[in-house]
Amino acid sequence: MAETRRPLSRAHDPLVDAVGRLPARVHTKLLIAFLGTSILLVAVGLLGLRVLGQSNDRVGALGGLQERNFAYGQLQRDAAYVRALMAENAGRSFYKVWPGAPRSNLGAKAVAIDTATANAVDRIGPTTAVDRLGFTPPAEDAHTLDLIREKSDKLSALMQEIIQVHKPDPLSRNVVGLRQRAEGLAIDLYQDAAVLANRTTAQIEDLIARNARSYLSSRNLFIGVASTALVLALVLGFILSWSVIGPIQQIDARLAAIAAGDFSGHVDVVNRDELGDLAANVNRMNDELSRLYDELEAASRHKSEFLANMSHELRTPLNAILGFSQVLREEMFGPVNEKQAEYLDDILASGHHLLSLINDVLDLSKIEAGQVQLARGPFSLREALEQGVVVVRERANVDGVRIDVTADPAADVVEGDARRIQQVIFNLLSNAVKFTPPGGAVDVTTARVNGEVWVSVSDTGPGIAPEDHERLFDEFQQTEAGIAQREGTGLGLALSKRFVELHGGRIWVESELGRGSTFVFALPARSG
Amino acid sequence: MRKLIIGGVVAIVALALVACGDSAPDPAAEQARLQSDYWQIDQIEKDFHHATTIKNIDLMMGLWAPNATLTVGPGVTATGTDEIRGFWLTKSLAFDPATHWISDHPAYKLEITVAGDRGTLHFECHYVDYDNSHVDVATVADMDVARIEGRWLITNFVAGSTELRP
Repeated sequence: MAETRRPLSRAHDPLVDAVGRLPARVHTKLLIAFLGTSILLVAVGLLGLRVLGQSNDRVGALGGLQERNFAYGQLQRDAAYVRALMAENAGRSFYKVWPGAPRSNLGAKAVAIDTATANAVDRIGPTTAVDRLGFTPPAEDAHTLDLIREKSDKLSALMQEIIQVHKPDPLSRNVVGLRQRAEGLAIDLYQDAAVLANRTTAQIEDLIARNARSYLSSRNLFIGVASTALVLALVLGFILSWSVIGPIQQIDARLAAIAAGDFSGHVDVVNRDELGDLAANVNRMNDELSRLYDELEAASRHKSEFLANMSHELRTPLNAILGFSQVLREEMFGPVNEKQAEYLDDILASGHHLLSLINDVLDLSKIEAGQVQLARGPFSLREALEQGVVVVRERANVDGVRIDVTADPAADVVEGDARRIQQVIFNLLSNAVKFTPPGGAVDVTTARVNGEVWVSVSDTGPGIAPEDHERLFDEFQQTEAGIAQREGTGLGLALSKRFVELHGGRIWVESELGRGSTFVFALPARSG
Repeated sequence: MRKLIIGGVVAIVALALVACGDSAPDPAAEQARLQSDYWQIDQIEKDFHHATTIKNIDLMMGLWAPNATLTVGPGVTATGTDEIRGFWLTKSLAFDPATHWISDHPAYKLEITVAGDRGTLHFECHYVDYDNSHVDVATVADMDVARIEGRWLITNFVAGSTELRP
C-alpha cells in the first residue's frame, strides 16, 4: 500500500530534511534551537538597552543645553536692556524720529540714562563667570563669553568716562563721540549674547529633531530586529518541529497500516537521530511481522485443510459404524439380547457424539478456510424458533423443563441463511435445556432493538462466572458444569459465534453464578 | 508557505537596514541653506527701508511675527502686530505723510547672525529729506529674527538713534 502524505505535513521539505540529516540527537538539536532563540532574545534586549542608553544620553544633553540656554537668554535680556537704555541717548535725534514715544521716567536727563546704562553694563560681566553660570561652557561658547566680558568691561569703562565728561559739559562733542563708541560696543554685546542664546536654542531644536529621528530609526530598527528574531525563531521552530513530527507521522501511518494487516510498505525517514533509529526498527518489525504473518497464514490454512480432510475421512467409516449398529439394534438381522442391546445403544450414542464433533470441526474448518457460503434469503424467525423447540422439547419434557417462546411480530422475517441460524438456535436451546435443572424454565424471546433483531434464550440453570463469558465462545471451551455433565464438544458456541458474525451480527451472554444465563444474538434487521 | 516566510524575512531585514541608516547632514546643503537664510534676512532690511520710504505700513507689517515686540526705550514697548502698527503710524515720523524721506542704509553696517531658526539683524537708517537733500535723522535698529513657518520675521526690535559716523 502506498504511503499517504497528510495534507498539512511538511515532511520531505528540503530544509526539514536537511535538519533531519544532521548527525545529532534530537536533544542536541532542540538545545541548539533553544540556544539560538535565546541568543536572538538577548540581542533584542541588548539593542533595546542601547536604544534606551542613547535616549538617556540625549535627555542628559538636552538638560545641559536648556541650562545654558536659560543663562544665555538672561545675558541676552541684560544686553537688550543696555541697548534699550542706550537707544535713547546714543543719538541726539531719538525723539526727532520718535516724537510720539513716551519719555523714559528718568527725569529726561541724559546723565541719568547714562548712569542706568552703566549700572546695567556692570551687571553683565560677572554673569559670564563659570561660578555664576553654574556650568562649564563648551569651547565655542567660552570664547564668545570672553568677548562679552571684554566688551562689557570696555563698555563699563566707557560709560564711566561718558558720565565724567557729561556732567560738567552736557553739550560736549566728546560725549557724542564717546556715546557712538559705546553704542557700537553695546550692539556687539547684544549680538554676541544673542548669538550665544540663538546657538543653544538651535542646538536644542537640533537635538530634539535628532532625537525624534533617532526615535523613529531606533523604533524601526527595534521592530525590524525583533521581527527578524521572531521570524527566525518561528522558522527554526517550524523546521525542527517538522523534522520530528514528519517522521513520527510516517511511523504512525506505518504502524496503523501494520495494525490493519498491511505489511507491504516501509517508513522512509532521512533522520540520523533517534527517530531514524526508530524508523529503521519499525521497518525491521514490519518485515518480521510480515514473515510471521505469512507463516501463520500458511499454518492456519494447512490446519484447516487437514481438519477438513480428516473430518471427511473420519465421517465415512463412522457412517458405516452408525448404520450397521442401527441395523443390529433394530434387530433387522435377528434378535439381540439385553446386554447386546445396551452395548449397541452405547455404540450408537458414542457414534452420534463423534459424528456431531466431526461435523462441528468440519464446519469450523470450512469457516476458517473461507469455504462457507451463506444461502441468504428471507425466512421466518418464529418458525425457526419453533423448529428448534420441537427438537429439544422431548428432552425438556423428560427433564421437567418448561420452554416458553415469546416472538415479536415486528421481528419475524429476517434475512440470512435459515439453516445456519436454526443451527445457532438449536445450539443455544439444547445448551439451555441441558443445563437447566428439573422444574426450571427456558424462555425464548425475539425483539427488534435499534435496527437489529435480538433473539435471547434464558435459562434457570447454574449460571456462568463472568470470567468465562468470553472464553465460552472459543473452540473446545466449556464451563465447569459442562465438563461435569460430560456432554457436548465445546464447539457449539464457537460455531454459533462464527455463524452469527458471518451474518454481520454479534452474540453475547449475560449471566451470574446461581442466577441462570441469557444468551443473546443480534442480527441486522431487514431494511424496509 | 516557504516562499512567504523567506519573503517576509527579506522584507524585515531590508526594513531594519533602512532603519539603521541615519542620513548625515550634507555640509554643502547646510552651507547653501545658511546662504539662503542670510539672503532672506537681508530682505527684511531691504523691505523695511522700502516700506518707510514709500510709507507702506502693510509692507512694513508683513515683516513682523504675530507676537513680536518693539522697544523704543526701557519699558516703552509695543507687543503684537496691532500695537506695533499703531506705534509706527502714531509715534514715528517715518510714516508721517509730512516727512519726505528716503530711508537709506549703509550696506557695510549691516550685521546678520544666524543659528538654526533664529538670528539677529542690525542696520542703520539714514532718513534723507529729498526736498533739501539733507540727512534729517540717523537711527539704528537691533532685531531678533526667527524662521516662522518657513519665513524669516522680526520677533524683537529695539530702536535707537545714532550719530552719522563712518
